[in-house]
Amino acid sequence: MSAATFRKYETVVVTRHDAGHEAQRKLHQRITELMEKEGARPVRFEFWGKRRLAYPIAKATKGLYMYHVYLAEGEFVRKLNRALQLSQVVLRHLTVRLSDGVDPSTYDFGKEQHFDTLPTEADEGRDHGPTTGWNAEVAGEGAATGFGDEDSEEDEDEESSGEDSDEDEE
Amino acid sequence: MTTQKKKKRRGPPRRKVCPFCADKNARIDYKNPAMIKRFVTERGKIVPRRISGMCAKHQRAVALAIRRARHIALIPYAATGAAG
Repeated sequence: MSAATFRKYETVVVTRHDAGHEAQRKLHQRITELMEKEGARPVRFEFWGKRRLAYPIAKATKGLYMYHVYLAEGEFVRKLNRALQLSQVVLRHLTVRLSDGVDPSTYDFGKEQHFDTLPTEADEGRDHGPTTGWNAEVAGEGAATGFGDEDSEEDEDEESSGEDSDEDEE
Repeated sequence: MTTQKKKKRRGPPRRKVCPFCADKNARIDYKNPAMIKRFVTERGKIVPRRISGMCAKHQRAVALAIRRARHIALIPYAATGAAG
Protein backbone atom coordinates (compact mmCIF):
# COMPACT_ATOMS: atom_id res chain seq x y z
CA MET A 1 0.00 0.00 0.00
CA SER A 2 1.47 3.25 -1.02
CA ALA A 3 0.18 6.17 -3.02
CA ALA A 4 -3.47 5.68 -2.16
CA THR A 5 -3.84 7.95 0.81
CA PHE A 6 -7.34 9.25 0.71
CA ARG A 7 -8.31 12.42 2.41
CA LYS A 8 -11.62 14.09 2.84
CA TYR A 9 -12.03 17.39 1.05
CA GLU A 10 -14.71 19.93 0.44
CA THR A 11 -14.82 22.28 -2.51
CA VAL A 12 -16.93 25.34 -3.08
CA VAL A 13 -17.25 26.51 -6.66
CA VAL A 14 -18.79 29.83 -7.60
CA THR A 15 -19.82 30.28 -11.20
CA ARG A 16 -21.09 33.30 -13.06
CA HIS A 17 -24.83 33.61 -12.85
CA ASP A 18 -25.02 35.19 -16.29
CA ALA A 19 -23.43 32.09 -17.77
CA GLY A 20 -26.59 30.31 -16.76
CA HIS A 21 -27.53 27.05 -15.17
CA GLU A 22 -26.55 25.12 -18.24
CA ALA A 23 -22.92 26.16 -17.93
CA GLN A 24 -23.02 25.21 -14.30
CA ARG A 25 -24.46 21.82 -15.11
CA LYS A 26 -21.74 21.22 -17.65
CA LEU A 27 -19.10 22.15 -15.15
CA HIS A 28 -20.66 19.93 -12.55
CA GLN A 29 -20.67 17.10 -15.00
CA ARG A 30 -17.01 17.63 -15.72
CA ILE A 31 -16.24 17.56 -12.05
CA THR A 32 -18.16 14.35 -11.51
CA GLU A 33 -16.48 12.76 -14.50
CA LEU A 34 -13.10 13.77 -13.21
CA MET A 35 -13.99 12.30 -9.84
CA GLU A 36 -14.92 9.03 -11.44
CA LYS A 37 -11.81 8.93 -13.55
CA GLU A 38 -9.49 9.68 -10.67
CA GLY A 39 -11.20 7.35 -8.27
CA ALA A 40 -12.50 10.04 -5.97
CA ARG A 41 -15.53 9.10 -3.93
CA PRO A 42 -18.25 11.73 -3.75
CA VAL A 43 -19.80 12.08 -0.32
CA ARG A 44 -22.10 15.01 -0.66
CA PHE A 45 -23.17 17.57 -3.16
CA GLU A 46 -25.18 20.67 -2.42
CA PHE A 47 -26.49 23.38 -4.63
CA TRP A 48 -26.65 26.58 -2.65
CA GLY A 49 -28.52 28.51 -5.25
CA LYS A 50 -27.96 31.90 -6.71
CA ARG A 51 -26.45 34.24 -4.20
CA ARG A 52 -25.53 37.87 -4.31
CA LEU A 53 -21.78 38.21 -4.17
CA ALA A 54 -20.48 40.29 -1.29
CA TYR A 55 -18.40 42.20 -3.82
CA PRO A 56 -18.36 42.15 -7.61
CA ILE A 57 -15.97 39.67 -9.20
CA ALA A 58 -15.08 40.20 -12.85
CA LYS A 59 -18.16 42.41 -13.24
CA ALA A 60 -20.45 39.69 -11.95
CA THR A 61 -22.69 40.58 -9.04
CA LYS A 62 -24.29 37.22 -8.49
CA GLY A 63 -22.95 33.73 -8.40
CA LEU A 64 -24.18 30.18 -8.47
CA TYR A 65 -22.73 28.14 -5.64
CA MET A 66 -21.87 24.47 -5.70
CA TYR A 67 -20.53 22.54 -2.78
CA HIS A 68 -18.85 19.14 -3.03
CA VAL A 69 -17.60 16.87 -0.31
CA TYR A 70 -15.53 13.89 -1.38
CA LEU A 71 -12.76 11.47 -0.55
CA ALA A 72 -9.80 11.70 -2.84
CA GLU A 73 -6.07 11.67 -3.20
CA GLY A 74 -4.07 14.84 -3.32
CA GLU A 75 -3.45 14.32 -6.98
CA PHE A 76 -7.14 14.66 -7.71
CA VAL A 77 -7.30 18.01 -5.96
CA ARG A 78 -4.47 19.27 -8.11
CA LYS A 79 -6.26 18.22 -11.26
CA LEU A 80 -9.55 19.64 -10.08
CA ASN A 81 -7.97 22.98 -9.26
CA ARG A 82 -6.38 23.06 -12.66
CA ALA A 83 -9.70 22.38 -14.35
CA LEU A 84 -11.44 25.04 -12.32
CA GLN A 85 -8.77 27.60 -13.01
CA LEU A 86 -9.11 27.08 -16.72
CA SER A 87 -12.85 27.33 -16.76
CA GLN A 88 -14.34 30.57 -17.98
CA VAL A 89 -17.44 30.41 -15.85
CA VAL A 90 -15.76 29.87 -12.51
CA LEU A 91 -15.43 33.02 -10.47
CA ARG A 92 -14.00 31.50 -7.34
CA HIS A 93 -13.20 28.11 -5.97
CA LEU A 94 -12.00 26.95 -2.61
CA THR A 95 -10.92 23.51 -1.49
CA VAL A 96 -10.46 22.69 2.16
CA ARG A 97 -9.07 19.47 3.61
CA LEU A 98 -11.48 18.14 6.20
CA SER A 99 -9.61 15.12 7.46
CA ASP A 100 -6.53 13.08 6.82
CA GLY A 101 -6.08 9.42 6.10
CA VAL A 102 -9.59 8.29 5.30
CA ASP A 103 -10.15 4.77 4.10
CA PRO A 104 -12.96 4.81 1.53
CA SER A 105 -13.69 1.11 2.01
CA THR A 106 -14.55 1.59 5.67
CA TYR A 107 -15.84 5.12 5.49
CA ASP A 108 -19.38 5.57 6.71
CA PHE A 109 -21.12 7.48 3.98
CA GLY A 110 -24.61 6.96 5.31
CA LYS A 111 -25.35 10.08 7.23
CA GLU A 112 -23.67 12.71 5.11
CA GLN A 113 -24.60 11.29 1.79
CA HIS A 114 -26.83 13.60 -0.12
CA PHE A 115 -26.88 14.83 -3.67
CA ASP A 116 -28.77 17.84 -4.87
CA THR A 117 -29.88 18.15 -8.44
CA LEU A 118 -29.01 21.28 -10.29
CA PRO A 119 -31.77 23.41 -11.78
CA THR A 120 -32.15 23.21 -15.53
CA GLU A 121 -32.47 25.83 -18.17
CA ALA A 122 -36.19 25.85 -17.58
CA ASP A 123 -35.60 27.34 -14.16
CA GLU A 124 -33.64 30.18 -15.66
CA GLY A 125 -34.66 33.59 -14.50
CA ARG A 126 -36.39 32.30 -11.47
CA ASP A 127 -34.44 32.72 -8.30
CA HIS A 128 -33.72 29.18 -7.53
CA GLY A 129 -33.10 28.80 -3.85
CA PRO A 130 -31.00 26.20 -2.17
CA THR A 131 -32.53 22.90 -1.27
CA THR A 132 -30.34 21.89 1.62
CA GLY A 133 -27.79 23.10 4.07
CA TRP A 134 -27.62 26.07 6.38
CA ASN A 135 -28.73 28.28 3.56
CA ALA A 136 -32.05 26.58 3.27
CA GLU A 137 -32.46 26.72 7.00
CA VAL A 138 -31.76 30.39 7.01
CA ALA A 139 -34.30 30.78 4.28
CA GLY A 140 -36.72 29.10 6.62
CA GLU A 141 -37.51 26.07 4.55
CA GLY A 142 -37.31 23.97 7.64
CA ALA A 143 -34.66 21.53 8.68
CA ALA A 144 -35.08 18.98 5.97
CA THR A 145 -31.74 17.32 6.47
CA GLY A 146 -30.37 15.30 9.30
CA PHE A 147 -27.10 17.13 9.07
CA GLY A 148 -26.51 17.56 12.76
CA ASP A 149 -23.88 20.28 12.86
CA GLU A 150 -26.02 22.97 11.42
CA ASP A 151 -28.47 23.02 14.27
CA SER A 152 -25.82 23.70 16.83
CA GLU A 153 -24.58 26.67 14.87
CA GLU A 154 -28.01 28.12 14.93
CA ASP A 155 -28.18 27.95 18.71
CA GLU A 156 -24.85 29.54 19.07
CA ASP A 157 -25.97 32.44 16.93
CA GLU A 158 -28.41 33.75 19.45
CA GLU A 159 -26.37 33.02 22.48
CA SER A 160 -23.63 35.59 22.08
CA SER A 161 -25.42 38.36 20.28
CA GLY A 162 -24.45 40.78 23.05
CA GLU A 163 -21.09 41.02 21.36
CA ASP A 164 -21.31 44.59 20.18
CA SER A 165 -22.09 46.03 23.61
CA ASP A 166 -18.40 46.40 24.26
CA GLU A 167 -18.11 50.01 23.27
CA ASP A 168 -15.35 52.17 24.68
CA GLU A 169 -15.99 54.07 27.86
CA GLU A 170 -17.52 57.47 27.20
CA MET B 1 -12.81 76.79 35.56
CA THR B 2 -14.01 73.90 37.39
CA THR B 3 -11.18 71.56 37.62
CA GLN B 4 -13.26 68.74 38.69
CA LYS B 5 -11.56 65.53 38.29
CA LYS B 6 -13.00 63.58 35.49
CA LYS B 7 -14.76 60.67 36.93
CA LYS B 8 -13.32 57.59 35.56
CA ARG B 9 -16.13 55.19 35.67
CA ARG B 10 -14.02 52.24 35.11
CA GLY B 11 -15.27 49.38 37.12
CA PRO B 12 -13.59 46.08 37.18
CA PRO B 13 -13.26 44.92 33.58
CA ARG B 14 -15.84 42.37 32.84
CA ARG B 15 -14.33 39.09 32.11
CA LYS B 16 -15.34 38.07 28.63
CA VAL B 17 -15.69 34.45 27.86
CA CYS B 18 -14.74 33.00 24.55
CA PRO B 19 -18.04 32.02 22.93
CA PHE B 20 -16.55 28.92 21.38
CA CYS B 21 -15.04 27.72 24.64
CA ALA B 22 -18.37 28.28 26.35
CA ASP B 23 -20.25 26.28 23.77
CA LYS B 24 -18.37 23.20 22.75
CA ASN B 25 -20.91 22.32 20.11
CA ALA B 26 -20.51 25.55 18.25
CA ARG B 27 -18.61 25.02 15.05
CA ILE B 28 -16.64 27.69 13.32
CA ASP B 29 -17.67 27.40 9.72
CA TYR B 30 -16.71 29.68 6.86
CA LYS B 31 -19.74 28.48 4.93
CA ASN B 32 -22.15 30.17 7.30
CA PRO B 33 -22.00 33.92 6.65
CA ALA B 34 -24.62 34.72 9.28
CA MET B 35 -22.39 33.29 11.94
CA ILE B 36 -19.13 34.64 10.58
CA LYS B 37 -20.52 38.15 10.34
CA ARG B 38 -20.76 38.43 14.07
CA PHE B 39 -16.99 38.56 14.25
CA VAL B 40 -16.44 41.36 11.80
CA THR B 41 -17.23 45.04 12.18
CA GLU B 42 -19.88 46.65 10.03
CA ARG B 43 -17.06 47.71 7.74
CA GLY B 44 -15.98 44.16 7.38
CA LYS B 45 -12.89 44.19 9.54
CA ILE B 46 -12.06 41.30 11.80
CA VAL B 47 -12.91 42.19 15.39
CA PRO B 48 -9.75 42.08 17.50
CA ARG B 49 -9.41 39.68 20.34
CA ARG B 50 -9.40 42.38 22.99
CA ILE B 51 -12.90 43.32 21.93
CA SER B 52 -14.30 39.97 20.99
CA GLY B 53 -12.92 38.35 24.12
CA MET B 54 -12.11 35.18 22.31
CA CYS B 55 -9.29 32.88 23.24
CA ALA B 56 -6.30 32.80 20.91
CA LYS B 57 -7.11 29.42 19.51
CA HIS B 58 -10.63 30.29 18.49
CA GLN B 59 -9.70 33.75 17.30
CA ARG B 60 -7.29 32.14 14.88
CA ALA B 61 -9.93 29.72 13.71
CA VAL B 62 -12.45 32.51 13.24
CA ALA B 63 -9.94 34.68 11.40
CA LEU B 64 -9.25 31.81 9.03
CA ALA B 65 -12.95 31.26 8.49
CA ILE B 66 -13.42 34.95 7.74
CA ARG B 67 -10.66 34.91 5.16
CA ARG B 68 -12.17 31.88 3.50
CA ALA B 69 -15.63 33.36 3.48
CA ARG B 70 -14.26 36.53 1.94
CA HIS B 71 -12.55 34.60 -0.78
CA ILE B 72 -15.74 32.97 -1.99
CA ALA B 73 -17.57 36.30 -1.70
CA LEU B 74 -19.89 35.32 1.11
CA ILE B 75 -18.80 38.33 3.12
CA PRO B 76 -17.13 41.52 1.87
CA TYR B 77 -13.46 42.39 2.22
CA ALA B 78 -14.39 45.95 3.00
CA ALA B 79 -17.65 47.81 3.03
CA THR B 80 -17.41 51.28 1.61
CA GLY B 81 -19.56 54.30 2.31
CA ALA B 82 -23.23 54.14 3.06
CA ALA B 83 -23.80 51.19 0.82
CA GLY B 84 -22.39 48.79 3.36
